[in-house]
Amino acid sequence: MSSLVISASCFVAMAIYGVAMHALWLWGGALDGLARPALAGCCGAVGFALVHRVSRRRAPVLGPAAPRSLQIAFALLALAVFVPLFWGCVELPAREWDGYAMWELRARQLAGAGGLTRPFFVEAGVYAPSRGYPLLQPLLVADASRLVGYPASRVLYLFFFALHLCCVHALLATRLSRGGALLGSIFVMLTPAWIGPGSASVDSGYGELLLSTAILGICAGFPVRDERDPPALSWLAAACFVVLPMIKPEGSVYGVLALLVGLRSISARPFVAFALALSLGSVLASTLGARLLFVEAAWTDRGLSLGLDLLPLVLLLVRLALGSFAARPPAWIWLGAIPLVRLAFLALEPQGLGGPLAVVFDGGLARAYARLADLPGLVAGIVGVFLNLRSFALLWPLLACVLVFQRWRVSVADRKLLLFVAAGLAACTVALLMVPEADLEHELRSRYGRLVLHWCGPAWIVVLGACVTAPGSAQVRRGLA
Amino acid sequence: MKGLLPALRERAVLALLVASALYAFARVPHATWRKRLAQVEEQRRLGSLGYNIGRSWPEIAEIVRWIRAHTDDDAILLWSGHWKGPLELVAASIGERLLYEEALAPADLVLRGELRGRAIARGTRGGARGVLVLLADGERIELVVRS
Repeated sequence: MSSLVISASCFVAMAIYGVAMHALWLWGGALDGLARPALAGCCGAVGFALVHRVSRRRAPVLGPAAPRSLQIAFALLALAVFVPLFWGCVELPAREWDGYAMWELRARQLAGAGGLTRPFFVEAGVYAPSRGYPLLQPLLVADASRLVGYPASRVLYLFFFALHLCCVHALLATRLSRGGALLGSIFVMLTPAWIGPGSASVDSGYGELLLSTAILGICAGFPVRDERDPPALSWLAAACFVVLPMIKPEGSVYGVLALLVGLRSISARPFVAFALALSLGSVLASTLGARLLFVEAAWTDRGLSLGLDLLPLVLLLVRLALGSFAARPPAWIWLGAIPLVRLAFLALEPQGLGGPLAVVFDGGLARAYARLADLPGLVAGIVGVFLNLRSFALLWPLLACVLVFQRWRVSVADRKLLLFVAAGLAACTVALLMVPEADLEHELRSRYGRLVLHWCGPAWIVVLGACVTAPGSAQVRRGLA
Repeated sequence: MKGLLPALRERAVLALLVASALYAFARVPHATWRKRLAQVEEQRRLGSLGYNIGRSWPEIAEIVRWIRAHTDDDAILLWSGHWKGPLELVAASIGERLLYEEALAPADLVLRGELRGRAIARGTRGGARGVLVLLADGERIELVVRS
């Protein structure tokens, strides 16, 4: 089974399960005992069956297997990295702040009987930090807890890391030889921030790893230009568009950026599927988030929330206006009405805002303007984050080097990927300027570094792809292709 | 000269690639293994509470220990003040107990000592007996008794 089929199957399963559970929660239902892990298992089986079926129709074309020596090196390195991470998962229950106080607290609450109907979630007076935050990761950890207990359930983070590497391999395999893809996976596996002991590392309990993996999955949508691409690529991307908003609030923003970047390059049918998928995930996650917040939102806030939910639909209409379908639009295009259902929700419910993004937007422009007064210090701080070897090794200087030396001659698909990375990093930087926290130095050190980490996987793919596809890079090409 | 530049550039990219991989690999024994094992050791020594709260706020860890020892496992503990700061860690350290904002708790239910079917935490501290309330200001936390 190829890495593409494994990645697509896992994310399709996650998307089906996420949609099913969000729908159940919004309806007010709960699954106790082993019913929820059983449902997750069923979704897993359906995901694997669906992807296996579509990928049999047109399997990805793979070259000869990677050299045995490289396979052995990968296995040994994986052992050297996964063993301490396993140790960290089972011996260190969530040691960093957000992992301990937010992500795993919610996972432990969801693991208990009643799940989302427990007082922790439904009582407005109960202290629950980050109340409106998306719940997919805590849900998955909670399900694992119901099976094997806590903290053993934290081993799930190793599965996320394996899935991350699987996605990297799947994307690189469409550009390089299998040996090159395996080598690229080693580069990503050794990313210091993932395997180090700090916040956002694999075993820290943070949501960064799963979000970053979903971003990689979305990148599979960029080469989708015609009918010759393996359908599993589109399935992987579509599933990731669904789950992105269910993992972290910035997922919705990243999804919209991906649609914007692919507005002209992704062919019409996959684009429709991606926009509807993002719309579905965004509406479900933000509606649930609004319900958990218990805050009576002003109409301006509701407008912001609705605007984010409607953006995929607007982009879909733009895409349809730009390009024509060979045949008539598919019948399921009417699923575009999903955000309109959200509109009805907003009209009916006093709660409105899709949660934590409001913290950034509320008065954010004024804060950003004030912070620009110290532009040199700000730029120095941001550059310092990108040059932080202990987090990213030499990835970002390498990307700059590749782009400058090779005069931006990356392949068309990778150019889109690069644009996506640039847009994502720009969004993260703008968010940094807009956050209400007073201590910007602390924000740079802790939060901004984590946001930049989201984009490491795609950046490695651009770097390695550019090394091979750019003209005049024979030496590097010989090593990877 | 024309042919030399691209070759130099290729070598520079290749050198950076190799340097990045070597640096990341060289960090594995120290950052991935040694530091993590040290964290495991420290957490075993201090316990989860001591590790997550006690290292920075020993007095707050002491309060949490007292709450664990002197209140019901599923009690509701009232709190008041600023939500950010160490209170976030306290909420994750008190097991099945829940923190409830004092201002949102109906006064008659507080008087009755029960909220949503759970007992509101009461206790004796410093000679005073009554409802326990955590006061948080974003930096420090105090446990007071309201009679």
